Amino acid sequence: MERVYRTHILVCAGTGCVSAGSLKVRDALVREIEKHGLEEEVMVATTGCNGFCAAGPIAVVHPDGIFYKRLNVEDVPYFVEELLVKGRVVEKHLFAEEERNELIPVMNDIGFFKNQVLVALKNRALIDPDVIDEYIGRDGYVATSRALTEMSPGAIVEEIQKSGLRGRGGGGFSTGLKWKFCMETKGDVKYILCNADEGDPGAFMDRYILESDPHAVLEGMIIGGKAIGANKGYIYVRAEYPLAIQRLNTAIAQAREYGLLGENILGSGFDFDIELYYGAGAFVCGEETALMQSIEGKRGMPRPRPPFPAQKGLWGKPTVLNNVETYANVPQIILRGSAWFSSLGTETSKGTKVFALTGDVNNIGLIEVPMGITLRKIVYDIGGGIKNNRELKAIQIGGPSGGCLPASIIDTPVDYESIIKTGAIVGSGGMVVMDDSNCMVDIARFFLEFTAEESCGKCTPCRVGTRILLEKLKDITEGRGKDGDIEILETISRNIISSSLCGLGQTAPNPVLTTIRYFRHEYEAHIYDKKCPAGKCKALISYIIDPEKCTGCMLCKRNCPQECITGEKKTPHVIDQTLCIRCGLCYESCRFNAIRVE
Amino acid sequence: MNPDKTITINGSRYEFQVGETVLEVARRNGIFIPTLCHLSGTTNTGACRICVVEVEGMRNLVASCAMPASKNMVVFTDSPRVTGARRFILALLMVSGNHNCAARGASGEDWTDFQVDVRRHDGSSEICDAYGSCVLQELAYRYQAHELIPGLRLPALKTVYPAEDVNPYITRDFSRCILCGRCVKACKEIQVNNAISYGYRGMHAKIVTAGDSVLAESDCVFCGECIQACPVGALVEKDVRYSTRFWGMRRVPSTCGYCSAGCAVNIYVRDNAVVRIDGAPGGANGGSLCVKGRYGFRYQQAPGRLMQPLVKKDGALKPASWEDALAATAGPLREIIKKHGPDAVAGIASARCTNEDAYAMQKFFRAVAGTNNIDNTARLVDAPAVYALRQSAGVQAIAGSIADIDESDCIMVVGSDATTSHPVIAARIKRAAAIKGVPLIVVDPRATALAGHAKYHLRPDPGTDAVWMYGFMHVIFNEKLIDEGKAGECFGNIGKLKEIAAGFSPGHVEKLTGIPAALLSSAARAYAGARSSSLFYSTGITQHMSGTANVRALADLALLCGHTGAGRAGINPLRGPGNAQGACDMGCLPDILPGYCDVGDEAARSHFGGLWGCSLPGRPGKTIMEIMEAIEGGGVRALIVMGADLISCLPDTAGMKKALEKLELLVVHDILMTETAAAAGVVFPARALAETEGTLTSTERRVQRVRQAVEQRGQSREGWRLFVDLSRTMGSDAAWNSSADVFDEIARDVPAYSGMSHATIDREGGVQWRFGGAISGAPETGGGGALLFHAEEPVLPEKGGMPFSLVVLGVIKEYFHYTGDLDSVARWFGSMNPADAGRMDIDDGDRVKVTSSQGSLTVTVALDAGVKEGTFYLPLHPSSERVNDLLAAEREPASGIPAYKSFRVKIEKLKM
Repeated sequence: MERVYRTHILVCAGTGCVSAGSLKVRDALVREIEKHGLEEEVMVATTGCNGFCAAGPIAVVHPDGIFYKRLNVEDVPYFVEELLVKGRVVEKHLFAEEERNELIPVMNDIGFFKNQVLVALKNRALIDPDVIDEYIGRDGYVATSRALTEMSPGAIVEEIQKSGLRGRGGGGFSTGLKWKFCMETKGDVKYILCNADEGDPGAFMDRYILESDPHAVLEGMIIGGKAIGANKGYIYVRAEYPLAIQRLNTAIAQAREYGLLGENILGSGFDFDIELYYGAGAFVCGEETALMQSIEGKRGMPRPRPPFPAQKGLWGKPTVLNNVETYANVPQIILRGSAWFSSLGTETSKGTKVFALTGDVNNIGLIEVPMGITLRKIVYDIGGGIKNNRELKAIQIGGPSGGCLPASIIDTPVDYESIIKTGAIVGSGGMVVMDDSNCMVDIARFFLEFTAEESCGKCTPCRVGTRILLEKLKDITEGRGKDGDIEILETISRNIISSSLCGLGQTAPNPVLTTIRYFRHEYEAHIYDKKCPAGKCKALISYIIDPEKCTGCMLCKRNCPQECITGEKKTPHVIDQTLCIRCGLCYESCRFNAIRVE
Repeated sequence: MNPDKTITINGSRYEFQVGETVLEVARRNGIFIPTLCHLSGTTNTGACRICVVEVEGMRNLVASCAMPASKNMVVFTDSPRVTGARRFILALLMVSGNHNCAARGASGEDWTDFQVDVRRHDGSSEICDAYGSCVLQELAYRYQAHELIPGLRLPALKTVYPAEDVNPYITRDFSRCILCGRCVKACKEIQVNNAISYGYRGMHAKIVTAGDSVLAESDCVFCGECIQACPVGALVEKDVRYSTRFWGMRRVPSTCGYCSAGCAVNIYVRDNAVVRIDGAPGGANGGSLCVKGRYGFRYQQAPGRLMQPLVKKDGALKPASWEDALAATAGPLREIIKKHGPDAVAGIASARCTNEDAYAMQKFFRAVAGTNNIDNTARLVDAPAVYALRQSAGVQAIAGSIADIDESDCIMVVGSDATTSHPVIAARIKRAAAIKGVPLIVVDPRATALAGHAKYHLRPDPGTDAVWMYGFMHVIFNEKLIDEGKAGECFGNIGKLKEIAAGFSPGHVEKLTGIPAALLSSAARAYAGARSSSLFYSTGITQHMSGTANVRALADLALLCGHTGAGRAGINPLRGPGNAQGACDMGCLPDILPGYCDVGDEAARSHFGGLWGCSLPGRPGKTIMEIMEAIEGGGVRALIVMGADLISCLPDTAGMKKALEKLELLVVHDILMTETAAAAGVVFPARALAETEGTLTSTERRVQRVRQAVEQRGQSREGWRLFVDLSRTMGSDAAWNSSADVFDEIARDVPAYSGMSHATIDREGGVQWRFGGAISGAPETGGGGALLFHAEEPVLPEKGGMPFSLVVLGVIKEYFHYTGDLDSVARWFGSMNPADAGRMDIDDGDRVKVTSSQGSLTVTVALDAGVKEGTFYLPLHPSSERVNDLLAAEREPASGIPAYKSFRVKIEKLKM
């Protein structure tokens, strides 16, 4: 008989919380609880990532579902004393809504959580990813059992098609249709692949799912394997994700042990197994044909399609490739039905989407929202608004393939079609919120630096075109912009999009085009006025000491690495602009707000 | 027009074949689509994007090279969008590197700065080497690429990587590389050398070797296929870069004479000198070449070329006129024949001479001198191929074509380091194995480059070849892999074959040869089970005391499996030198008349006697080694050598030298003062191949033209001309005035060549001679008209107390005698297994003494795990220490081939 505890303390063991020390907190909790002799009554467990990474290390205490943030080892005795001995809510670690200045103890009352709908992340912070029984305890592998024993491949494909699930890797292609093509292609050997080569800067959706709920992905692949007739699956996972790899390996071993992978799964006669393949960190290997080349042991470079992978994929065999989040949705669709799934979202974009919400927003973390939710709701209700009470300037969505959307269109619903119309893409889930201190030309340059590095170098438009875009953007941000540069950027961008070989090149200019589209004045200011309105581009700014405000405290002078600030004590100081390297140390160190950027 | 197979291009409808690309359909119908990265016969990578077209219903432009035509597709190849994209791509490529032709800078105000920069990078004030023969430049003009955005120019991008030319052959100028990847495809998919690939990413992308080392330290074999594939000035021959423009060269189509593959070449000539050679389509090579064929031409200009005849007076060779030299030859020759009979004179031809030279020489000996003492140096390489198969299959050549490799579903290569000896044929084998996945069986004690592509690599101890062949047959009989009853209907003595094979179970074979039993069985199954298995063999099994028996056993194996005959892949010798096949076809053999008629066949003799207006000697003449022996014994007193350096290629160097000294008359016709020539009484200057008109016959019986590309050096004459002169001096009539005349007589006399002439070959670009006609020498037949297997019990080599088997072989860059200019690249060394070396405390780079029953030499050792334990490899090399010193003048009785690969040696470490 399983022991019943009065209290469960679920400590988050996601990468963010672990690096903030959550495992040490957990150990301290266990020790402290033993000290009080409460180990029979209180259970301390670790879970997958909670998602609210900005608040880590996090613990959620059940049965009340109280959310505790920023725990640390030093506070553990106090925490245990208060919570377990005295039976009080530990206010010190509760979450506070900044604007209302009000403590919100229950996790699901917090705006960050309240507005989310969990499908792919349904087991978030509830199970230990290393224990298959916990996954099974939450209806895990019921969908597999149903698909393998009760459903034909055609029925599975039809169910997925009816659900309206579209590829969550960014393309948004109908998953059901993709499976159908592959199911209908004749072939003894087929493969089903999972793309876990998450490469967008700052994105961590796939890592999160693999770390916190690996079985959901395995299940999706098993069901997909049955649908298309594949007996072998590969997960192409970044080698830089050691925790995800470790948890996947554990999950696969446990699934094999339980007969959920291997021969004759659940007595259904269906054989299926999964192997991991470690990606070496090339962004382009997220492209499906490049990914397959990489698994084949070749250099990961995209090849022209057709033939499409559904006809000739890995080792020339019919192949389906989906991303991690797509697979995590599959068991839920089989379990709860396509009608339930398609009730979420909009007319053409069904279900939910996971985003890595980052940037200048208060609540940084991983979120899952229904398709069709507005950007405003994400930024303000979930994200808790902009940090430091600054203005929202832009939202970068879709990573290097996406675009920068201005605050003016913040009411755009997040669905595939609406976002495409803005010039960005939904993408795999990167969402960076930017305040008014960001220079949009500089942001475009940042993304182009990324794509120009990560282009595989095979096709001309992408290899040379992105490099020319980058050179031009550097010219503009460094004060060498010329009349006509915007037109060159636009022409080159359009041509790269229409003539590149793969999705990388076909979307790489999006950050340039969207910033020109929505922030053209900023480009013009750089080119014609030689000014950076946001004060970011070093070549175009100068730091000036306001003699009215300067008290002559000499702090800036002491901090200046160039020693180019002069002035006697208690007299206004002056910066020698010819020597200044615009490092901004003086600006940051001034206590009297006497230094301004021009 | 089949409505399911039509597409619309630019408003007109065209039919397509399933699998055809849009580019192919367009080109077939004369619609221009530019390409840069497209390379026929390789994967379409769609990399450069210059061939993009607009397809109705598709969001983006598509690469026509990689887009299969499909039903009702509507394509526009020249819409404004397409043209704009092409102009864009060209503009990008033009600014991406040092493209300093005018096409780049049409609107550039930085033109001068740019040129100065490029000049600094190149270290030369010349404009790009590819100027005028550059596809990018041509397209940039065609599409006026500078007008991408009128009045606005793109920034020039800096080149990241410096040029590389630390090798004798290829300059890699990365500043002009457009990363189209044609060189990579050429290296990986045509030559299958896998030396280069894409490296790094994005703006740092570069074509790299493994580890991004320089070519000279990589897997590159300098075949130059990449140069031929490069559409721009990024890969060029080092020595013509900035020295010769393409418009300053005259192109002469010809045939390569190095190995017997018979590659079609273009010779480029400037100022009466060969400056460059590239592969031409049409031959068995399909445009490919190897390092020798492409770069080994400088001997033609060698300073040591013989310019005029020399006659020995007072022990020294002195310049003489042709007339004096002819008189100095004809007089003594006549005397010797008169005094000692015609068989006291003999002739040896090089298997590199043209058919015309070989024919003229054998005719001179038979019709003018009256002897059959005429042989050629193919004797030293693959004589068993001629003799063994003459008796079994009734043919003396490859049954099919080199191109048949493409149709085979199993390939077996026995005793041939083909990537070294026949690189272009090896490339075809590698393509089949590596790209099409055809199972390849390589039988060789050493881990050759070809073995790296093999599914089965069998490593028998040297000399045990017939044993494993019977092992194969054992498995085939035992596992009933063939229809024995059916085979028995054709072959009367199948029982005997089976009986012998029964004694060679895989386990027993393992003990005798060292080939693991399971591996032997698997390989036998693969070979026997294939629908059509190509079988190639070479010196690895012929240069043995059991050479002919080896080939016979191999033939039995092929016949047993039914892998011979019309439409089958057959049993194919990879003949050695460039005209080994032709020299034998011409009857440059002591027992065989032109067209493989037996000398002993009276009808054949009178046939040729009638044609030549004389009566022909009936007694078979002497083979090379027999001639040398007869000189020693006083039987042969005069010897004429055409194009062969006997001292460098025969075993037992000391014995051979002694023999040559004993001659009353030694006449040598050669291009260089070889050791043999130095020993001669009369030396005639010969022409190099590039100075010659004539024909060569390749290993696949393809008769091809060599053409005179440059004026001859000095007073040199072709071989046939020497024998015309000599005949006339000796009072006989010789009616030929040109090489074409000689060939016309060949076509008249040799049935397989009938109907050919220089003119028809010129027109058709190489003609394969056919079997049949009046060639005599039908296969031996048994009772009831059935054919017979040879069915000979294999003989095992004697070890004779010496621990190592010595294997003498050629190495690609040193093998051929005339390639002095290639020697600088390779050093001479012997190879042995590290385990053997370890036991003897020998390190890589140590000097060792190699001793045979005959003699000894010292050599530096290279440790090579690919060398089988118990074997020691020495390449032939024009180096001071001569491998031949180690070899005895022993020869195999059946074919007279010296047993170069049957010797035992001991190895001793030398103290420093």
